[in-house]
Amino acid sequence: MDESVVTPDKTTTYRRRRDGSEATGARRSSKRALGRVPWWFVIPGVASILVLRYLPSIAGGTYAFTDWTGAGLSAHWTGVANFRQVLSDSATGGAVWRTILLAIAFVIVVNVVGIALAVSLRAALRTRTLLRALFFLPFTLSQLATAYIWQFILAYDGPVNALLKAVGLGSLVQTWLSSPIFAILAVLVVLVWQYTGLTMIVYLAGLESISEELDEAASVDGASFGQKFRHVTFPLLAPAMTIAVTLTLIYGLGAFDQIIGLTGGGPVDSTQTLATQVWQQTFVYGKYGEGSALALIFAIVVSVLSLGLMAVLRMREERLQR
Amino acid sequence: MITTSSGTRNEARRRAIRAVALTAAVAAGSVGLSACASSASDSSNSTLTMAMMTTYKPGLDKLIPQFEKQNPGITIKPTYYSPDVYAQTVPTQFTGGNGSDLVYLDAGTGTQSVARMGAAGDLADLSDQSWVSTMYPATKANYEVKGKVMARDLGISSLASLSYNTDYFSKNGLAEPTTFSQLLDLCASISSKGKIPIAWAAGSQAVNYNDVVSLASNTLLGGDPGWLQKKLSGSASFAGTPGWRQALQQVLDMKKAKCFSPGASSVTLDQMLGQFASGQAEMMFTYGGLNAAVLQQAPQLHVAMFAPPAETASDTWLQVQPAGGIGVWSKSQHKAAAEKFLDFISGTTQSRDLASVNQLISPQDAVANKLPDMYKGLLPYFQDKKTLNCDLVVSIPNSTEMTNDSGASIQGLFTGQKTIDQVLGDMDSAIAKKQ
Repeated sequence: MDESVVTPDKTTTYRRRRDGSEATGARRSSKRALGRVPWWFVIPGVASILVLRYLPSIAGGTYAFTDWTGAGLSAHWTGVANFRQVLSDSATGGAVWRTILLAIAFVIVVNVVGIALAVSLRAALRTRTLLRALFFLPFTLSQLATAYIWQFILAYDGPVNALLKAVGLGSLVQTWLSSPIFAILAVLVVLVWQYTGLTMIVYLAGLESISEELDEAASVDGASFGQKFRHVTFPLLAPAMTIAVTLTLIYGLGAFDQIIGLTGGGPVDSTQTLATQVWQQTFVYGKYGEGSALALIFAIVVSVLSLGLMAVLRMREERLQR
Repeated sequence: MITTSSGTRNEARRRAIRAVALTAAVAAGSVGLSACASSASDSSNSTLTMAMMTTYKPGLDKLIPQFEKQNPGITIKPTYYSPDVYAQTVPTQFTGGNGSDLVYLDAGTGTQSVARMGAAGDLADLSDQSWVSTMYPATKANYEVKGKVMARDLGISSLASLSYNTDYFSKNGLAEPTTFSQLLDLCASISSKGKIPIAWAAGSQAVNYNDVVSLASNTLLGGDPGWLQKKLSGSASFAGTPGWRQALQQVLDMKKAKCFSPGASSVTLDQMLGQFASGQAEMMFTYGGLNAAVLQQAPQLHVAMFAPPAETASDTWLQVQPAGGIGVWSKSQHKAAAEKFLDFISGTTQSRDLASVNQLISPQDAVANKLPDMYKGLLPYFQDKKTLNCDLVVSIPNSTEMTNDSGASIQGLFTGQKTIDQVLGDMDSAIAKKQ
């Protein structure tokens, strides 16, 4: 319970809150005014979110338990048959593991490169603003267009192979996008190329919040660049890292345009992920039920991984701040 | 706060007013939505909406004004879609009660096909239309649902034939091969001149599957046209049929004979068209109608076609593919006007105009064996009745999935990820999947 306290001159009444802070009477009256706002003012906002976001998601989820084909309104309840079907399909298992491995590799590489760029471009270079803009630029491009550009670059008669031949490395010429290993690596490269700008910006913001005095103090104590980074900069980047890692994990798990544009899921399904499987089942094959079942599995995978990772990173933040 | 009975009454009144206001707002919204969904009744002053594939735009740009001139009061508003957008948009429009009066449909059983939309009750029965008698008989069944005609066919083409650059062939003294071994020799000859003999988009599942099914015309289906029925009834399998093994072996033989580019395994459909249009490749193995896209890129190119040859010339068959059709939405408010338009495009000249922009053979010309110049090399198969309908592409229940899964597996032959036995096993698994 809050308690009322009267000042000795009895001119001002404070209400002491449980947390020890105090609110003036003026603020209290302002809060009372706010309290008089009718509760139903929230209806448009809440209704919009419910109707436009949650209701379609729930409705979409119900298709997972039907045999709806996308044509007409006729659908029959099939229970968990769609889940049984997609889980018994070997393609789903492969797609799940590929999704997770691709996302993990992406998160590691894009964050390492992002931190490296941020640290490098924090230095007092004359061209740092230009360089920051250039590195951020790919993030602003259309994902599908980017994938098509890279498809051209990596084509057998494309610039990469032409360059290899030109510098006398013709023996390294590859059909990059039709090798199962190189194709998935190509997807990873394109993802990293596109999202490095984002992580760089997040880490730059994190670096800006670190006091230069700490850096200078470490220098006075004789710390090398590596020691300063390891013991001063890196721990203080923890909040930025939580944001960057969580965001990139979600982007990595949901990568779709880059895969469809670059490899179409091939060769022989070696770049199929859950996101591309959902699209294929739903819109290519017209199996809305199986597609929705896969989408629900996908949502669970994304939620578990991203929430789990966020919890771990938050704990790390708290540990480092102690 | 002290509450009184009058305060309670006021509160109750306010709640009631809010409830009425909310109900009124919801009702007003519903009325608004209903108004949006309603459409005008049929009359001589009709505006027909039309959902079509982008490829038909040049032909319709010419025909729609002619139709509107002949039928004052009827206006057609076409919307053109690329295939991927179409597949998601048009069925949704039907389901949402906002379909187009006239709508493009794939023949057969695919995702945006006559069979699927017809079975869902989205298409009008057109069986009593006068043009039904002019449909191409071999593919007419692909536009029917339970014996009722649901769409006007727009033409046919080869499922997969070899298109070639006639100027290059005549300049180098090359001739159309009539046997498979001659084809391999031709590949060696073109390859020795530093050119890609055959552009094959192994990165496209549809190209892989259609090409292999086309090769199987000679190794199996020509001699056993009822094989698919045996397969569907469970008395045959891909793995247990030598003709399929032979068709896949021919792919490996062509690969070994350097018929394809070293990077064929990752070549996409667009890249394949570009290779042929730019003169990097002198032949292209795919659906004949795709020559329209080639000629858009290279109008100066002179193209002719021949059927993929069998081991002996007399065993060569040609599979034809229905190119799609136009149907009428079952809930259209302008059915009479829509049927008038279908009647108009069924005229011999109009039908040919619409087919020619997509390098197709119009249904009437196919019946009369009057093929466009580009198709002259395929004429003997029409005259000798050695054409087959591509049932394995358009008539099986899960045709899209079969095409994609099998095509992806066939790509493995190019990359070395799959053996012939594995591909045949994958094809058996794909066709067994429930639609």
